[in-house]
Amino acid sequence: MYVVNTESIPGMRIVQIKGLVQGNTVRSKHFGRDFAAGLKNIVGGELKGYTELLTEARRQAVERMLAQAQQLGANAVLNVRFTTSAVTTGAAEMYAYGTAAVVEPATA
Amino acid sequence: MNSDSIGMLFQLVFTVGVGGALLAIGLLAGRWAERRHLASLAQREEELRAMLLTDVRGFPVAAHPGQSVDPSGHARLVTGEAVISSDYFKTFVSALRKIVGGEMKNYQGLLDRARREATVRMLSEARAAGFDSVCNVRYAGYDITSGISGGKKPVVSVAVQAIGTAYRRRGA
Repeated sequence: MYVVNTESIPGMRIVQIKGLVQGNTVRSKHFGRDFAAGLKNIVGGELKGYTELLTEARRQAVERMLAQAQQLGANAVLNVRFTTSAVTTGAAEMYAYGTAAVVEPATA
Repeated sequence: MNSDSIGMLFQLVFTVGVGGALLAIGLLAGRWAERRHLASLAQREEELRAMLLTDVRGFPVAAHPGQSVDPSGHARLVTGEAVISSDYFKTFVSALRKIVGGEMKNYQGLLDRARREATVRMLSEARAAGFDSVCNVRYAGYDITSGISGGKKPVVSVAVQAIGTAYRRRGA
């Protein structure tokens, strides 16, 4: 599966557009991480727990988006974007979306 | 002096003492963390200098005569995330700054570090996968910690995500 945030892929040509695919995940806070973050907020530095949270959320959203693309019979997702929305206090959504397409080598 | 006022005096000294200690810890530890992070960033950015990083939508090679985009269809989404925390001293000084307004250099520094870290992680992912260029870079800032403590005492931090498409140049 090709996944890019550009509108084309070098050396490939778009055969068919399958439409918008999306994936999301809503994550909530975690007491242990909050406590560690509170301490880190005194001494400064990276909040590794939150970086992981963001990375996991992004990975899951992309996975779900790819599953949708696969179901549509696509082999590429173009122009991928991410957004987040706050759901309630202490919970946030990571949303990935893109255009599913069928691509093939341009020389074929 | 009765025991009541001694108690109050003790409480005052204690409060000021703890505040001062937190400020000192924040100043020293924060500065140390920042310096270490900046040094690490500078080193990794130097290692990644050969990577071509752009925010245009196409796959540019124009500035490098004799090169072309590798047409074998190898292109992939790469991402990098970083969440950087403020320290007690920065938060305190910035709270004072809010009274008079103006530029908040401390927080600018935090955002700068988060963005550079996210960029370095994205580029590292691209290089580890055998790519030498990343185009269409986009940055997003996330507010993931303001809600975390239920609004009582927000953790001051910045979260940045960098995304782009990695590809290869021929004749690079």
